Amino acid sequence: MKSLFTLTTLTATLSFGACCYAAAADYPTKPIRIIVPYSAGGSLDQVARAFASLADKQLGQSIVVVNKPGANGMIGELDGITANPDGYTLTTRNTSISTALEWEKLNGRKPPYAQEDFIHLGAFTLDPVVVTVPYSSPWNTMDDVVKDAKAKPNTYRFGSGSMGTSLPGFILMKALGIKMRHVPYNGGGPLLAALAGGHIDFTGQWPSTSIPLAQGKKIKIFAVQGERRLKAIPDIPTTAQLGIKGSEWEQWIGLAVPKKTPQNVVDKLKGVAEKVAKDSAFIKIIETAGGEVVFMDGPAMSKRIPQEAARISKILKDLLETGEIKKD
Amino acid sequence: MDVLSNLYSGFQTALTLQNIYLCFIGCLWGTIVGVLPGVGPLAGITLLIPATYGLDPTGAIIMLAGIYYGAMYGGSTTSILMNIPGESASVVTCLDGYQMTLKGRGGAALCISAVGSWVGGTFAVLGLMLLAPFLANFATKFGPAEMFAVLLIAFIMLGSFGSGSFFRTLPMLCIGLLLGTVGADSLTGIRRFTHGLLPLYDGIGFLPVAMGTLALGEVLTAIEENLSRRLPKVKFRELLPTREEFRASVGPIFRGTGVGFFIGLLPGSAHVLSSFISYMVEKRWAEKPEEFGTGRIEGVAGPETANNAASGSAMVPFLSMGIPTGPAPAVMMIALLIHGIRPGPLFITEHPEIFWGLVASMYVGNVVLLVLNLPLVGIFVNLLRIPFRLLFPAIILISLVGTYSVNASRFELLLLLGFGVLGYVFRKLQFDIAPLILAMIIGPIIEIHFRQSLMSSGGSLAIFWERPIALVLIVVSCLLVLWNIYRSLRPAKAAWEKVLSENN
Repeated sequence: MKSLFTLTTLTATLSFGACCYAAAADYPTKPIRIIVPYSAGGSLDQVARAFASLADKQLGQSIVVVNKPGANGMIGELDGITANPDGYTLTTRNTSISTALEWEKLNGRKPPYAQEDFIHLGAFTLDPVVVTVPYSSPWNTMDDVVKDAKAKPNTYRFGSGSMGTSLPGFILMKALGIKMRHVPYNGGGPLLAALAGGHIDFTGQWPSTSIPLAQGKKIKIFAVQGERRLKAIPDIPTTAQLGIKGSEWEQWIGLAVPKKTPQNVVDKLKGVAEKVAKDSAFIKIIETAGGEVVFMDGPAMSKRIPQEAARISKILKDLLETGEIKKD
Repeated sequence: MDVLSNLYSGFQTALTLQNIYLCFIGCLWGTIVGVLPGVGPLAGITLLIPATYGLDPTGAIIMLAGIYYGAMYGGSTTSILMNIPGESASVVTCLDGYQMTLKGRGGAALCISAVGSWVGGTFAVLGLMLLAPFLANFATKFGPAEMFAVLLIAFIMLGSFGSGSFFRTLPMLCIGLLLGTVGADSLTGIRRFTHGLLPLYDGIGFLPVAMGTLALGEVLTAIEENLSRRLPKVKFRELLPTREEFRASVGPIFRGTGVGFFIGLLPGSAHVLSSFISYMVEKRWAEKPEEFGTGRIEGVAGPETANNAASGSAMVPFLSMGIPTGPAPAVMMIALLIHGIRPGPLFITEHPEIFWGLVASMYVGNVVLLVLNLPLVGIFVNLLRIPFRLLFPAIILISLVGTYSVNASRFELLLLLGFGVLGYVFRKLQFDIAPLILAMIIGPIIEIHFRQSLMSSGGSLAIFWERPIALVLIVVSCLLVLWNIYRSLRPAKAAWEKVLSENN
């Protein structure tokens, strides 16, 4: 009786294993879903949809982009990490998520998941923050900003689109030795409208949203807070070239799957990610938006993330100490 | 003449067989997602983006824009017939629309809302076409201080929103304001009343509250009364609005167009506010404001026009500046990017064929929607023939599915049911629910703009009168307060005079 039971279990396990192995081998056999942990219309959404529009041909299955916003991206990520590790749920991730998770830790809460529980497939873009002022501003260079802001500390208004995107502004102001009033806005759209209307004096934003406004003479761009100049605005120097040290802030946007995903599925997806990043159609979409495709493979992402998280944690701690932000 | 020749070439683009077809598909799909509660234009657009990959950019944007403004036509259907707000901009339509249905005038309400939508939509395109660059600059003049002043006016009007007495409105306003404070403060990230629950981090969703208190509350109260409740039988002739109803709707439709167009331009406010503000304007304007909430056609005509006008004018900042004011235009922008077109301040000059093609298609689309929606009235009204014992469970099911479809959150389902019970209690105690929902929407926005104003002025209140637009709006809101006091004292004064004259 006992042996029969063992036999049945064994057969069941074997056949189950075989079925799953087979399923993994001919992956994908059904539509794939990509979770974007922010609401539709943002920069992650843009990359996810651009990827979905090209990767479906390579995978032979349709790809559905699902927006699951909430808690600064943590709700969507939690969904992605607890999904079946079968390669049918991908999660779009970016740098800002480290800010949300480190903030949880600094407030003495346990983050809902660990970033190490993701296998990273690759990141497609690496966007620096660009430093902008309204077109009507009397300032024409970074030196003008520093001169006036030093003469009148805490008078000019520095805007940010969210807590995550206020950090590059804070580190830049620290590097410049200036202080401004911080006016937070509820997202990138309202922030840019406020900037174009001159309701704030100074802000950092992503190239994809800022460059069209600069070309249309609504705003002026002074510097790129990154390692290199941008192709779309080759005349604008980087902060380092202006002699400002340690204020670089670049955001990657990439894809990940849960930890226990079968190796062959991961390999296949990694291959697709790399191919899409080299696809001229993909590059065109990203460059039209004012960004640049800079591919970073999975291991490089996994290496970069803890370093970034440590840096963000330190910045947040410094800001808490100076009282510019408060614990919640 | 430039506009006319541009428009002519726009119509040449829009009236190709393919583009008419795409416009029709967009409008049809928009009407469907508008009718389905919970599924709004945003979900409708994101679902169809993959279908545009094979199209040229003009065709793609024509179809996606059709979904966007088409959804505003469909949104009123479930609000009027079942008291389920089809999407956030149609909550206010429930108030008088559903009452009209109970009186057997549901068909008329649907007809008027279709006609109003058409007028609002068409005038918004006209504004978009003639004034886009000018309006975009005007819209950016509205900073936090100006936005605060606009919302202050809305909030003061809200005080007289309920149909009951002041003391029945005030507690509901307070509860609404309190509900609005739940969640992470969007300016500093500080959490309020979240009790460590991750789903509460982003606050209490507005749709579960509105659907719960309005639709489920209504069902719970109704089953208590009589399960075999029958509505008056409606003949086909009676589906059409009467001459009086038409006449009463003309004013609200034109005022709604103006209000909606203005609100749609403002950064970040979206069309939700437009319908509320239009309703409040109508109530203010009416000779008998106390009749609002009992099935006045004005309460349907104004808001339903306003949300269409707002969805048209919300395209202005998006097309002429490349700044999307709400999530739906933001997704349309991504769709254009996938097609290699980048909206920005230079969009209209660099891609005139797309801009003018879109403008022309919006004229066509609004006519298509009118033609599509008027016959649908006859079909939808038949829903009311379903016996109530079947309709009520269906309403509960639709509300559950609708709520889940927005954020796929089980927590929101619990919220929906909880607020359903609360809605029942409020009804039993004869409190008005509308002020609660309104306060919940306006409260957080007004707070954000107030704090942003003070943050940018360094704490000085002078920002509210140093800026001309803000000053004018603040003065208007002060006048409104005085007017409110005068109106509430007037009956008292009359009563005194009566007493005095009797004594003499």
